[in-house]
Formats: sequence, structure tokens, C-alpha cells
Amino acid sequence: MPRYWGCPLMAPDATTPRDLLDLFTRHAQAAGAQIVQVADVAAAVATIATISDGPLRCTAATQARYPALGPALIAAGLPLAVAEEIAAGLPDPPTLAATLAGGTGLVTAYAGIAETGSLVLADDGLAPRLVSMLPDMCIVLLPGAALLPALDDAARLLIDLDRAGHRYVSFVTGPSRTADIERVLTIGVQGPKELYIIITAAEEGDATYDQPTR
Amino acid sequence: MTSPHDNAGPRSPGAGGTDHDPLPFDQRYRRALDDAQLQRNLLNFQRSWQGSREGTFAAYAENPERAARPALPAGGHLPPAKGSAEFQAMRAELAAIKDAVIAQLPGYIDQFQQAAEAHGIRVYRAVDAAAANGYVRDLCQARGIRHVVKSKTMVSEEIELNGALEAEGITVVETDLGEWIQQLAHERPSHMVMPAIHKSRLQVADLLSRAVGRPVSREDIGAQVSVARTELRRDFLEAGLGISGANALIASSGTVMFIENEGNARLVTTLPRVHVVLAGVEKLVPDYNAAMLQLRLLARSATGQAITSYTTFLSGPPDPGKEMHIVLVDNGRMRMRATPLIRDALRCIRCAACADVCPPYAVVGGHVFGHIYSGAIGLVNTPYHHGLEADAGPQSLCISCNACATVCPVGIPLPQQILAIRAQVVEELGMPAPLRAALELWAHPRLADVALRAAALATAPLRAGAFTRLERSGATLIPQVHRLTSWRTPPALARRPARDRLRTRQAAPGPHLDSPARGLRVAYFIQCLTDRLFPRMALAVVRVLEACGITVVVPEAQHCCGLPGIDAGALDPARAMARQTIEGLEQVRADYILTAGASCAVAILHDYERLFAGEPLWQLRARVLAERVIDFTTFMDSVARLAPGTLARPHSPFAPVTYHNFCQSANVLNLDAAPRRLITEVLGLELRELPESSVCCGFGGSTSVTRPAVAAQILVRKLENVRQTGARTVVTDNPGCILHLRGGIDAQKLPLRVLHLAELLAAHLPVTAGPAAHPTAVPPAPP
Repeated sequence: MPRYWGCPLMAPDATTPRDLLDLFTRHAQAAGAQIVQVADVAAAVATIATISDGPLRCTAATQARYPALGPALIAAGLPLAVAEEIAAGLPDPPTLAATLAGGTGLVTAYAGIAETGSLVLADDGLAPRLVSMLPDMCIVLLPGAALLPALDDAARLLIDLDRAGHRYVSFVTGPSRTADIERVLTIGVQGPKELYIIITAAEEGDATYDQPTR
Repeated sequence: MTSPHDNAGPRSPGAGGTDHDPLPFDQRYRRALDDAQLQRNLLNFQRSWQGSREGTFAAYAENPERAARPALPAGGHLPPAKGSAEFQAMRAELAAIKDAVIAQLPGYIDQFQQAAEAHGIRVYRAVDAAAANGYVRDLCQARGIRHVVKSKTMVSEEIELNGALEAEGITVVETDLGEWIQQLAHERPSHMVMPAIHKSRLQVADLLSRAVGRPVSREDIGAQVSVARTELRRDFLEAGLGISGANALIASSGTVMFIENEGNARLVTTLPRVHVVLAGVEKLVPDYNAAMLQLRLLARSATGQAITSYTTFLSGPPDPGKEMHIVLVDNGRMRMRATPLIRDALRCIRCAACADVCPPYAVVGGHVFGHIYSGAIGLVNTPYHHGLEADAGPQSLCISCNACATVCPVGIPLPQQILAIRAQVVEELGMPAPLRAALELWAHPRLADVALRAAALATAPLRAGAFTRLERSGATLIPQVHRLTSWRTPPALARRPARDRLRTRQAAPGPHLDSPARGLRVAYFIQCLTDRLFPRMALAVVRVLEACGITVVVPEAQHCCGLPGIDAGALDPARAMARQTIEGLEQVRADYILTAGASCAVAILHDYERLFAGEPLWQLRARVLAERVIDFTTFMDSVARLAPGTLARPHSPFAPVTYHNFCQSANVLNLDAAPRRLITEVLGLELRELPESSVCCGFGGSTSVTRPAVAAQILVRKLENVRQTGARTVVTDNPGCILHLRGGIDAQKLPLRVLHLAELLAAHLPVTAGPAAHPTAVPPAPP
């Protein structure tokens, strides 16, 4: 019975990749995310080097998707630690959580949703998930080819991710926030206080959503 | 320095928990009324929410291609649509989806359970609160869990889980900021989405300072928020169990969807080794597409966001060694499902929009306007979760303004459901004896007539102009009388009711205004308040109609449509009056049956059908009658259709005017443009738009009698808005509002007139039109 709604905010002719990117950018910025577009790994490294703050940790999936990134960051004097490797040396989840709190987390999104400016994160495993939850700053790498027009398209992606065995999938739209006191918007409650989205050129990290990995 | 979380062992039960034995309703009610800070906080909140919500839905309406989308029919009741076409279409679609799920609920529950279990989730079906609490308690004991963190779940409030766990010595910590504040205050959430919205930053600062044992800024909300980040981290790390709620349960995949802004729910569902989801069975949706539609409506309606910061889809234990349970709670929901009309409340997605537009909610807050669930939906579901008695007080605060129905994103017929609950309260728990006696009397037209004429005579010495000066009798020394009249001067009972005056009037000779209605025959239903209190209003209606060349007949057998009984939940007297009205009017030979009491039009057009549920013959007669019934404003705008400028005058003593949109005119009859066209085009008057024009004035049927303090507060808000316009005259189309506004303006001694639209039109008729023009058709402005 549910019908396809399409992207209500998209002008009827807004179907080109450029339109999608503009729409995504507009909505993500409205939600408080900061957007940087990069042409190559060097630009991504330069961006991360500029914005990151404190220890920098990434997920194994990020490392796998952008293999050139880690060495380049280390070369730039930014040691990039992999959360899964940190976890392997620690006795229990609380210790891991305490270790990963603060600093900067670097993760990869499966897709972006233009309608809402959301990122689709699907990290299974405690360590990689905590990398996007506990740091003060979260940097998300978004392959430029992985933009979806509408939430309805995200529904299809959710089905795919589900079938591929992903159990914890989130749409992340802007940094953590609250308006619980006097309805005054305040950024950064339990989640990251800053959210950066680095949109990589289509050929970089081109593992798009239709090839989910576990 | 002590922190509430420093203690390694269990805290004493209730130490940080909820007040599990809240004050009786009357005490909560009185305390709220005395709290001016509360009222300021809530009104500010409602106003800022409204702006955000309208903004997010307006952005949706930008795309013209999508506005024309036809709506699917809902299976249940859907109130008249308001808002953008986009909102209406989405609302209708989600309502239809939810209706289909509710119709096949057991099947959807089975489907969800199978899918969830296939992913390693343990599903438990809890028939009631005790079973749900017992499951979580036993789980804690089996796993040796002493420390629990929670993200927002209204179901846990509904079943009072915290108290059940704390009684076993288990520490429970709320991690949503608003919920945490409420826990520190030993209070329940006062709002489903914004639990502490009734508190100011000063009040929050004091609570936080006391909790952490160091001063917290009383001005800087950011600093207050960071206290939660610092303080709660340890709880996240130490807790053995995380408890979360669910915004949707996706049947096709066994997935739990939850939305949040803070990120605390992601931590609650990630860090502790064991995770329990509490969800009412009404949260089921068929598939991801339906969940997306719900997302679009939910965030916009709840917080005025296009989407919240985090939307999570959890389809099973995500990590090795992690345990996940879902407790599916019935606790009265299947009884709701089996109750006609009430079953539509199972569509609810807990956005709390109904509270955010509710005028009495803004006066007393969610601890009074509700039991545990607050807002209009709380008045509907409380009897099913917590018993009818828990709802007896809260339901009495509804003013039937229908504002909730206009914003509900799933089109729940909340006002009608609340009236049904009220009738049940009256039937099972009784109603105040004087009110019942008055309604019984009112249901007998001849007795009522005799009583009213006697009362008019008896109060004649107290009459001064349009008002009754009770202070002249000494009656205002009686506290109860003072409470009812000090803020709203009671109107005077007319020496001669309108029916007497109309019986002896001369029909207008003409010439007539140029109107396509010329030659029509219109039967005039006077409306009881107009008849007895405002006879000049009735004369004005008839003069305007006759000036258009209409033949006006006044049926003899007319009294009251029954609305006072419907409003008060006294359905027997209401039915008696409705039958009299149908019998008295259905035989009348006329093209239209017109009333200038917009509330009566609403009653006849919308309430009779439900009033006579189970009496198909009367339902049919009501429907046939309704085809000819029309309210004055609609008639003048769409039938009489006077040309622009027809009644314009170079100088009007009434200008500038402002228009109070009687809430049901706006919310049920959808009369927004029509009265404004009459004022600005036909009359050519300057109209100063009234802020919150369609927000109830506070008359609210029986509420201004049973809850005068609430009615008085709502009136204060209305008159403050009126004052801001700088208008000389307030115009509206409902006699109840006129009684209320005139009385309030007199009590406050404001230099304002209140006129029925018919009076305003009549006052601008050319002297040659209609019978000798009565300058007295307009009440004099107070000195």
C-alpha cells in the first residue's frame, strides 16, 4: 500500500548529480553540519588536518574504503588509529568507551539523503559505532556517488543493508543537539558537538551502498 | 561534592526517581493555577513551536507538483483537513496505513515477532503494566544488573517501570536531558516530547546545582546542558542494562526505529550489554516506506524539525555477546482497538502536537492536563491505561476548540473522542449536581422558558445596560459567585427574548441590496444565548437577511440545539434537545435554515451524527436537516454574495476592527477567508489581523462554568492579543465568544466593542434598506 513519495523538496527537474549535491548540502548545513568537497585524497587529508582536534580514530571500514588516507595522514603528522585495533587491546567495553571519548572520530557513510541532509551510517561492532558517538567531533567521509534523492530511496537501502546483515543503521543529520530547556537550541549533548561531512569525488572510495560489506 | 551517581550501591528507592504518588487532581490543578511562571514558560513554548512547525511544513508545500496528490481514504474517522495540501495528503496516507495495521494488528504483531526473533531478539508480549515491569525486573535479577540507563520511553512512564525497579534496589538513570531534569525534580514528564518544558532555565539551574553539588549557571543553557554530558557519561559506562523506547516497529523486518536529537538513545542501545525495548503494540508499521512517511510527519510535528539528529534502525543484537529484548505492551490497547471511535487513537505517533496548540494546556501544563500521557491524546488514552477516574479531572479541562485535530499528523478525531470520554465520566462517575439540574431543566423548553422569564424579572434591578451588576445584590461577597464573575461580568437577561421581538416585527419593505439571494426563504434558528441574552443580535441578523430581499421565517418550535449537553457530556439531555430541534425545524418550508450561532451549526452539522450513533432513524433525520443548515458567515459569503463595497461607508465608528476567529468556525467549518472578505470587501473596513485569531477565547462550552480559572486565563491571552491590534471593535460570529469577550472586556474596563458579524453588517446597512434602521442594534461602547 505505501506509495513512493519521491523527494518533496526537490524541484521537478532537480535530478542531476549537481542538483542532488546542492540539495544535500543545503539541508545538511541547515541541520548544523559543515560540508567540504574534496577532489582527491590529498585534499581530504589537508581538510582533516585542519579541522580535527585531539586524537584521531577511524573505523576499519573507513581504512578499507580509503586505503590511501591512513598513510597520507600519518605522513602529515596525524596518527590515525583504528578503533577495532584499539578495542583488541582493551579488557572491556567501558574501558574502550572511556578511551574513545573526546577527540575526533572519522567514519564513512553508506549514503547521503538529499531530502534531509542525512548521512546513512551502518557500522556493526561496538568499537566502530562508538567512533561516531563518543568523540567531540565527528568527520564523515561521503562518497559523492552515494547521494540518494529521498527518504524513500533510503528505505530501499535499509532493506539492502538489512539483508546484508547490518543490525544497527542510523541516519545522522547534523551534530547532537537538544532544545529541552526553554526550547533553546543547544548543540552537543551526548553525541558529537561538531559534524563535518567530507564529500569525496565519485571515484574515491567508490564502494557505494549497493555493495554493503559486513 | 556529591553526585546522584556517586554511590556504588543502589540508591534509596525514589531518591532520584519519580514521584510515584502524585497529588490528587484538585491539588495539582490549584497549584498550577497559582504558578504564573509555569504559564509564561508554556505560552512561550507553544508560540515558538508553532512557528517552527509551520516553517517545516511550509517548506514541503514549495513543490507545486506534489500538492495535487490525492489522499487515500482512512479506514476510521478523519477530521476536516487543515494546513497545506502536502500535510493533508501525508496525514491521510499515514492514517490509512495505521488504520490498516490496527485492523490486522494481531497479524502484524506475529509478523514482527517472527522477523525479530529470526534476528536473535527476544520478544515478550506483556498484557499489562505488571507483566511488563515483571519481565524487566526478572531480567535484571537473572543477569545481576543493579544499574540501568534509559532513553526516552513514554511506555515506561505509562507502566511506572522506574518505581518497580527502584523498589528492588535497582538504580535507574534517565539520560534524555528533559527526562533527567524531571527525574531530579521527582516529577513525571509534563510533555511527551519535551518533558521539562514547563520549567525555566532558572528552575533547571537550581535543580542541577543541587544534584551535582556545585553552582550551575542560571543563565547559560549551554552550560546547563554540558552538566548532563559530564554527569551521565559514567552511568552509560557502568549500566548493565539500557532501556529504550521505539517510534516505530517495522513488521516486515523486525526492526525497531527510534529517533532522537541528543545521542543518548544511541549510547543507551550501544553501551550496556543488555538492551530492552519497551513499545506499545500500536507502534507497528508494515514496512520501511511507511516508517519514512512517519518520519516526515513525526519530527515536523514533534519538534518542528525536518528530521531529528539521529534516526536509528535496530534489527537485532548488533555486537557479539549483546542481548536484545523487546517488550510489546498491550495494557489496554486491545480494549481501545475494540472501542469504536477510540480505536483511531491507536494511530498516535506520540508527537505531542495536540498539547502544543492546546489553550488549557498552556494554562495548567501536562501534569494537570493529563495523567501520565498529557495533551489531548492523554485525555483519550488515560482511561484505558490508568482507569477512568484518573481522567475525570483532566478531561474536564478540554474546551472543545478542535485545535488539536488541525495539527494531529495522523488525523485522530481527538475532540470527539474526548467528548465521548467525558460522557463516560458523567455516566459512570456523575457530574456536579447543579450542572446536571441546569441541563435537565434546559432540556425542557417550556420549563426553561418560564424559568428564564422569571429570572429576567428577578435580576431586572441588577441590570445595567447589557450586563448584570451582581455586586448590587451583595452576591459577589459569596466566594463561589465572585470566582465566577469577577473576571467576566455576567450578561443581562433580556426583558423580552428575541423570539418575542421577532414575532411582532415588521418585515422590511425594501428597496433591497443587490444579492443573488433575493427571493430566498430562510428559516432563522435564533440560538438560545442570542434569544435570551442578545436579542438585538437576532434583530441584526434578520435585518441583514431582509435587506438582501430574503423572506425570513422564525419557526416557533425552537429552543436549543443541545450543544450544552454535548459539551458537558450529558448525552441524554443533549439528545432530547437535538430531537426537539430536528422535529421543530425539519418541517419548516425554507431554502435554508440559518443560525448565527456558529457553534450550533457545528453541533448540527458535525455532532448530531455521532450523538445518534445507534439510532439510524434519527441519524438520517439529522443528516437530512443538516443539508439545509448553514451558518450566517457562510451564508453571507457564499449565498448572499454582496458585491465589494456594497456596505462601505466613508466613516465607520467601528473601524479599525479585528476579527476573532471562533475556534470551531476556523477549525471545523474552515471559515478563515469568508468573514475577512465580508469585513474588508463588502464593508470596506480596515481589518487589523488578530494574533492567534483562531485560538479559543476560553468560553469553551461548559469549561468556563466548571473551570472558570482556566477560562479566565485563556481570555487574558485573547484580550492581550486584541489590545495589540489597536482595534476599536472585535468582531466574531459566535454568541458564546461574545458573551465571554464582552464580560471580560467589561470586567477589565477596556475601551472595546464586541460585535457579531451580523451586527457589524446591520450597522452599515443603508437607512433605506430594511425596516427603520435601529441605531440601537449596536451596543454602546463602555465609557
